[in-house]
Amino acid sequence: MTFAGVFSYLVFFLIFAGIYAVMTLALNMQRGFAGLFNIGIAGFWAVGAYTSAIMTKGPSPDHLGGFGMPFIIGLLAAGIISSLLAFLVGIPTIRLREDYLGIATIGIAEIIRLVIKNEAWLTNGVRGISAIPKPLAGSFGSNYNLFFLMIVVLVIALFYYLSEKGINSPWGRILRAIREDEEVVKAVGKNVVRYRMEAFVLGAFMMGVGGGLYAHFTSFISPEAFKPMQATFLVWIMLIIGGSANNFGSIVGAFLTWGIWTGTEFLTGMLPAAYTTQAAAIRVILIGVFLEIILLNRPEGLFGEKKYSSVSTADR
Amino acid sequence: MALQLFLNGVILGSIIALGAIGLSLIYGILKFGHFAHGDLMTLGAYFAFLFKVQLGLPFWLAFVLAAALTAGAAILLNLILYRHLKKRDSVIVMISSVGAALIIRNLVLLFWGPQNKFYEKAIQMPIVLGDGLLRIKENQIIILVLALTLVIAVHLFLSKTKLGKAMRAMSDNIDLAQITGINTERVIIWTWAMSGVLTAAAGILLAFDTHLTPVMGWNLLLPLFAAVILGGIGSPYGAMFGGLVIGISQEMSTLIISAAYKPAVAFTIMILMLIIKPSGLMGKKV
Amino acid sequence: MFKKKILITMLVMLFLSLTVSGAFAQDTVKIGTLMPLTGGLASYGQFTRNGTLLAQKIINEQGGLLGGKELELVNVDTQTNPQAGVDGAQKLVSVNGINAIVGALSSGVTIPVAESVTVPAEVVLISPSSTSPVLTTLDDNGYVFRTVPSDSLQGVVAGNLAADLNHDSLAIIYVNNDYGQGLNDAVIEQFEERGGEVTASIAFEPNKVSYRSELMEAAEGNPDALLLIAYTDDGGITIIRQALENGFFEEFIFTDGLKAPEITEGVEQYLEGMRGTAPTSMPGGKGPELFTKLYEEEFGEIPPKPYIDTSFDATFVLALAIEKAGSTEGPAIRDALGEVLAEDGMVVNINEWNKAKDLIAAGEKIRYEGASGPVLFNDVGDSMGAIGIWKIEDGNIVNESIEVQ
Repeated sequence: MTFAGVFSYLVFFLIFAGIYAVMTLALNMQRGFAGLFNIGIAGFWAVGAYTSAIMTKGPSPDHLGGFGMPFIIGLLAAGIISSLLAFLVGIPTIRLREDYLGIATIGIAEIIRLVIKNEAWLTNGVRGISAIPKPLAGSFGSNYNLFFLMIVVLVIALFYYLSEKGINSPWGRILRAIREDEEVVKAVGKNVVRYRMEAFVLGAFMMGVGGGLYAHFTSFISPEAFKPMQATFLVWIMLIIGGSANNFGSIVGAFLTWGIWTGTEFLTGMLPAAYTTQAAAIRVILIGVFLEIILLNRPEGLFGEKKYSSVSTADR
Repeated sequence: MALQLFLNGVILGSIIALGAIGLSLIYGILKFGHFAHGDLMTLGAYFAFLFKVQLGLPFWLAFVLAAALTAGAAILLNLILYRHLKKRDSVIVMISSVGAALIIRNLVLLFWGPQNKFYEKAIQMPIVLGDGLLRIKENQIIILVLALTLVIAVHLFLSKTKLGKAMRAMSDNIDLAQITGINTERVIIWTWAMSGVLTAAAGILLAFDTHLTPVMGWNLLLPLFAAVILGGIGSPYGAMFGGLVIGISQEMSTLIISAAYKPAVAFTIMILMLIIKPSGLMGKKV
Repeated sequence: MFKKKILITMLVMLFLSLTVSGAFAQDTVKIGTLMPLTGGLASYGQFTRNGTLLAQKIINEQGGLLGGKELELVNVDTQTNPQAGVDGAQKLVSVNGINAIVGALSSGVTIPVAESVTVPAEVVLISPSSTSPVLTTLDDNGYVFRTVPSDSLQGVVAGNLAADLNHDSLAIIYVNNDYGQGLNDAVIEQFEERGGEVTASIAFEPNKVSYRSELMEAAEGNPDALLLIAYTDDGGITIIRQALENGFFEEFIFTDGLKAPEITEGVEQYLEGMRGTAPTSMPGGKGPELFTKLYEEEFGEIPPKPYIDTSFDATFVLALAIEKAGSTEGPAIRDALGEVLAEDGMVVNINEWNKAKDLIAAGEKIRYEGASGPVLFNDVGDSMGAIGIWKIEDGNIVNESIEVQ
């Protein structure tokens, strides 16, 4: 084990955890600030990844493509298509109780997975899209991942800044007021459904961008990459551990949880071959039990809800 | 062929209906979507596998024991998780039920492994009716009879017993029920027990018709919810009807669309229902 | 305080996870293995891993490599998932400092691992089982090899088999992943070339409880037989049973994923005489028998599952190349892989590591009579291979004949 090796793995680790942090920030926008129950993150993640891949790749006989757009445009498109999807899902469900959105998002994630698998003209089906261009590939030599990490950090910083800004604005105050007591906000004549929808769509935009980052970093995406466990549930655990309605906590939660998730992998390898299948199951059970313990004992997570400027000051 | 698909749909539909009754009552009484319901179904099916195949008990006994154990598991979930989370917002309860679903599924993986399992190693040749027009296995007739018996039992329970009436009353209006002096804690426990029995039955019958796999219940979660929403949350009769509709339309859909998109059918019906009448066919206002 | 406790626990776990995996560095030659111990291919992974361990044992018992260094294997569970696979591969390369990789099993993991980790890091990767045709054309600077032939070869043999069995029409049901699709395409092409008609070609989703609708669709137009491309664990067995129960099909042709004794349990009388295809050892050479013997001495009875032998060979061949290169640098290993093996070289059996070292030292080329038959790579890193035809006899799987490329 060399120092350079550890460093390069650390960079790699931070990129992955950083992409998860983008997802967690996005989920915090939806769940933390607006109280929305999205358990179809995998769907938005996949849509973002595929959109960006298709937009930026050169022509390929295997799937839709050939637009050859720059990286930035790819990411933007990923966000836009993902938020469009959220908008469509939101129309029938967002005005109803949280549960409906939850069920609908599970459903939409499943359908997206089926579409990706079966519509080969669009996505190359189960074979996946390979050779997704990396921004400025070829420059930076062996330090390329460091450059990519900077992009990820930049995106996190941007989303963090915008989330904080947004949540402290009048818009954010109303959003939080809705989560506390919907009826009061309705009574003062605000369109509750609209605010919720905006938070949902914004969160989906961030998820789409996160998906785009994932696609460009791994250079290869296939339907297998967007399973509910890794893509949806892990993000929820990150958010709950870090603390709902706390952007900083969300980011820390993402890094800690991803560290433990990838870290406990070595346990599997240490067991004799006959027990390894069990080890993976035990790992998920432990993560699940850990989550339940947090929910029961400290549902506000490690950092708890941040004290943002209160609603009353907003009405000054 | 349409007739055959219809029959397959009725079989699948009655299985979904059994699972959906419990889901709907819990939804109505405890006011949250129970996302571990599908995995409880899996658990029930594997309990029956344990008794029937691994311990060699007769099928009816395995059925009863598995149903009892699953009811116990459902009550346990309520006892250690949902009861304590009741005061929190419903998203917390729901995510904890998603966590419970994961734990159950992986416990099944841990004890029984990922391979598909069968109650019977040998296969059963179908009874052919009307010159190959319709094929039905003996097992499938048993499934239909059992499902019907259970549905009638549920109906009698809900309409004739004091406990059953209390359940319906609570699902209808919990505040009113409390005023009338119903012991809500007790009713909640019995609701979990009944849901556990019905879900186990659904899981066992599904596995009896096909096979056991650790994701069998999770894959049925969306159809279960679709049935509940179609019938109206909190309405057990609505759930039965919803289950049949979802089952039949899923199977019949293959006449028009590719079988690969079958899971999308339940979703589409559910979304349409939410747009047209979110309270469901037999439900109260949301 | 609860919060503090959680935070500390998590930090400790994080620290452990980053250090334990690679802390005990010694002066060894390290090969990373990417085997799925969980997920869809879990039931293959534990045995293919045994294959690599057996190769390690033989090499170390005969004095190791590069002048006495031990061969060390580090495995990472890919969970049959590309995300976990890529992460694991990156860990192998940078933390564990492995010199080459054996794996992964499914093409869906091997391709992203190659594209985002091993090719940029100039690490040689040999997959023992990724059969996707995409690997052939991958832009890999020559760092990606495999010890199995591409699916296009098995598809040709399966298509011919169907035609040779005098079937005029064929329905295909295949698992919806790149293994299934690749085979499906190749079978259709060959069967139609032989004048047959493919009446239906239907993809299925793994792990559903019922495949009756897929089967009903496939049975339309009464094709002569069903060609089933699936694994045992993900629905293959269920499809066979439901096809029989509902009288959809009586004739079947199977592919390698179903070459397992489980498929006949309870339905022996209906499947008697059915045939299937699977990549197999090249004829000649005693590698396969020797391998079975050595494997069973070490691990007990060898299951009739594919890719155990190819995993052994991938490990052995890598060791040969490292010895030839005289170094553990990626580019050197890559070049050595192309140089060390030759069809007319000196014969080396799978338990003759010492002999191989002597031959390499003497500058001779080697004809490696591997566990899966002689291993030779073509210029894109694909193995030249053979496809065997197997048959169900008295409920058992027996090998019938071999078709060479």
